[in-house]
Amino acid sequence: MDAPTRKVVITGCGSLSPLGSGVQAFWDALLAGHSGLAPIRSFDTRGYSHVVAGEIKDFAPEHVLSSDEIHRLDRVSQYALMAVREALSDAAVDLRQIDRARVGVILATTLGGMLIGEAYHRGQRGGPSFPARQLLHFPYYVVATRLARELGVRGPVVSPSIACASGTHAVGLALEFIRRGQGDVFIVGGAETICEFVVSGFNCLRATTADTVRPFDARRNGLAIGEGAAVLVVEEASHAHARGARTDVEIAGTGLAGDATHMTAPARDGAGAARAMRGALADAACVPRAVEFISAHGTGTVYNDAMEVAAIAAVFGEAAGAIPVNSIKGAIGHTLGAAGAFEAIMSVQILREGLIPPTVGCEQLDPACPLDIVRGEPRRSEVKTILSTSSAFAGNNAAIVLRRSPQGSSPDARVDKREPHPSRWSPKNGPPQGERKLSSDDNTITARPEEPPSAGGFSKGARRKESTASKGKGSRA
Amino acid sequence: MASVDRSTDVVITGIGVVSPFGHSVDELTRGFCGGQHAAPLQERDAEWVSEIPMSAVPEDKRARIGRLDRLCRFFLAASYLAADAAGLVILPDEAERVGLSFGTGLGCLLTDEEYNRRVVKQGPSAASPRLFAYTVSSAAAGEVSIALGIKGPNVTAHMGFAAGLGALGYGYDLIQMGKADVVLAGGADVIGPALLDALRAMGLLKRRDQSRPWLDAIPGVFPGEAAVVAVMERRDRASERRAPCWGQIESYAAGFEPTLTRRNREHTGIIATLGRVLELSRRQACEIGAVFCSAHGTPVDATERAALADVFSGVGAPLLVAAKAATGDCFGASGVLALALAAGLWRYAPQLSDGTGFDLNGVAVAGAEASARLASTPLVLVNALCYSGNIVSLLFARNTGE
Repeated sequence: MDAPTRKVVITGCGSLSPLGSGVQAFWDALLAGHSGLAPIRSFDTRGYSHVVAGEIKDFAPEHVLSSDEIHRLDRVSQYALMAVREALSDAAVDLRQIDRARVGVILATTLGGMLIGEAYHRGQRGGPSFPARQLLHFPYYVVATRLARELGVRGPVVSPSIACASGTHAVGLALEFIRRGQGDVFIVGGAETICEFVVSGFNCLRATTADTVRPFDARRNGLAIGEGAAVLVVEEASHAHARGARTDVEIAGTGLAGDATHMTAPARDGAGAARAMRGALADAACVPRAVEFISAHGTGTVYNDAMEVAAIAAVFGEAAGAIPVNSIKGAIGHTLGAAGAFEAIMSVQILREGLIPPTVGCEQLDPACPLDIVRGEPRRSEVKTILSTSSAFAGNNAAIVLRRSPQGSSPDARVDKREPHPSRWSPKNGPPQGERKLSSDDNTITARPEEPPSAGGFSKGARRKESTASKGKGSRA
Repeated sequence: MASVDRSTDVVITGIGVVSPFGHSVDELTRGFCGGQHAAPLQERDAEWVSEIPMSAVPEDKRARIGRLDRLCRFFLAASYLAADAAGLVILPDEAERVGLSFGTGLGCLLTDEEYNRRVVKQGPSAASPRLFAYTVSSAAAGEVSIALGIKGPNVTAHMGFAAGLGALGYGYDLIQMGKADVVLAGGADVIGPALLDALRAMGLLKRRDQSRPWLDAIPGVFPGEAAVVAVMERRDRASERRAPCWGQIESYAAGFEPTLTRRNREHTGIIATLGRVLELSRRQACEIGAVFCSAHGTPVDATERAALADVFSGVGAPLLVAAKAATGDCFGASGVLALALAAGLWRYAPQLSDGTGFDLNGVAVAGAEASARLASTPLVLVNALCYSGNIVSLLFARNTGE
């Protein structure tokens, strides 16, 4: 088969997030509008001005990992392996049954074994003694290579490192690797742990919020760090089809672009992000008007969100205000290298379930952000094509296009296996009793901007004066 | 099995080298052939520090240098040297078609260490926003993009110490996929106290004279620092602007061998990777005249050699060259450094000294014979392996159009 005709599908997902363990817990909580943000408990926060984060609660690896694995692996690798186990189970793939020279791992992380690095420096400062051998697990690539060893794969193993856009790039890279013949199956995603290193860093950049994350809200004042792992099984479509796996969600395109303007702040005009979006659409042979939902980076900083509004306006023109958009940073925090992978999992769920989760934290839509931000309630919409976008330090931008595959299949057995619990949201059961109703009464795609674009139009309304913001504005992470 | 799109040839038009032997392909080649051993590296206390030629950066771009960390400086200097060697001028209307693909094994760990040290010592109030900005490994590519005005795909990746060669491979992909016309791609790594502490504590820190690829089976490395960046572009574009051409990337493959850290190592992952690089280029093993190996004087060398013996079984033995014998282990830069050396040996055709080439049994080949064999081969294989299991193999063809 020629490279350009190789289709790539997502056959499994796994996650461990501040909203709970497993994709279903993640999805249910997103639909219910829950937030996993809370004061940090994993380290002593005295001396920190902002201490809200999305931590994994009640972490219980013993339910999924062996005692040997728990002993052998550091925390971030445990997160990742737990998500991998769920994703492989969801994909119903037994790696022992396929050619593992054609299986790879692409796992993004911006922090990797940073907890080990912190322990090393505490040891140097008279803290608990630290075995130097542990430092071998400090480098960024180690999380991916440890996973690869656990899985016994012999295909490409990569840890993409474009900061907070790494997770989105990881998904796009799997598409490119499969198209280019480097493998047939990739375990793809991201994993991060909360640590003092990153919380102090974003605090000192004055990019964090003191209370909560409010993407695209008029009162937004910064981001909160999140942790967890999100993993997808990405597979060449005919390979998936041959083993009877679901092939209903396709990764159709990916795009990358650099701002070349600033190391930590976004380009105000969103030109880089717009180029990445256009690149992903072109790669997918997809016209902008086909996009029915945008998963935004939406960190909740003043400048990032304004930059994204400008970028979306540049790509979609007048239609920009009619496309539903959300951000999940208010629900799980900014999970950095894992963020794009979490958003890809949410996108898979949207394509399958026909529901768009609300943007937790967005209550008073910023008039300068005249997008159709889904908020308050989940929205029913039979979305067929999704654009997911991420931006990062160093001017990196990445975007991917996911779509319901026209030739895709979702075997009945698999659907039955995922029969939702009566207390969960589902198209079949509707909302759980006593919870909120859908914001749309029918299944049609609705284009209902919550507020009309400002009189000055998109670009004017989207830009904020630099002088108005002093906190939670500068970072694009 | 997918086949590669051969419609777009990708050539290397410039190579920027910041190495233990100097700051050009010429100096690297002469250092290697002269039997030097990483001479410019200075052993200063516990750190191996090499000189960075920041003079390569134009004067009007030097204002930011003071804020850059060591890794950024390495990449920035190598990028300017590469662009200069290629005669590459990036005009604003071309900027979106120019990309960056960098690979690094250790990344920004040196800066992470410095940042961590401050916060652990003095608390969160000592956190430096300027320093924190460089605690992402993509900072180097970010700085290069700002300095050179590059606005196309901008990627940094970790693939163990095969990262640099992997980045070159991805740059080749970007051009072949039509996502960029020109890509600056390469690898770099710098050394920090934590790495040296770890290696020393485990007895894995070797002296220079102990680092003898093929000849030792002692675990451990003699660490070096380097950055190598190549300007890659479509052949038609390079020809149109009459750019120099060092050779053509034929294909690359990335793979993994999960047993490299074990006592009983297997080489099936290496063989699979070598098989894929040949398949993607539609080449045969018998067409490869030399292999620039990853060998660095550890037990992994024997595993690599066993894999090569399998792949080349019955088709004639290639000449094996181990660049790390001279340069030390420059981690994520090593694979690209080896490619630069291959390009230099082809272009300058110097006389190799005895013992710089080996056969598949690990027996040294006489210098004259090695020189003759290298001069006559149109195709070399460059290997990069990491104890972590990462593997990248790349096929590099001599430029025949010059």
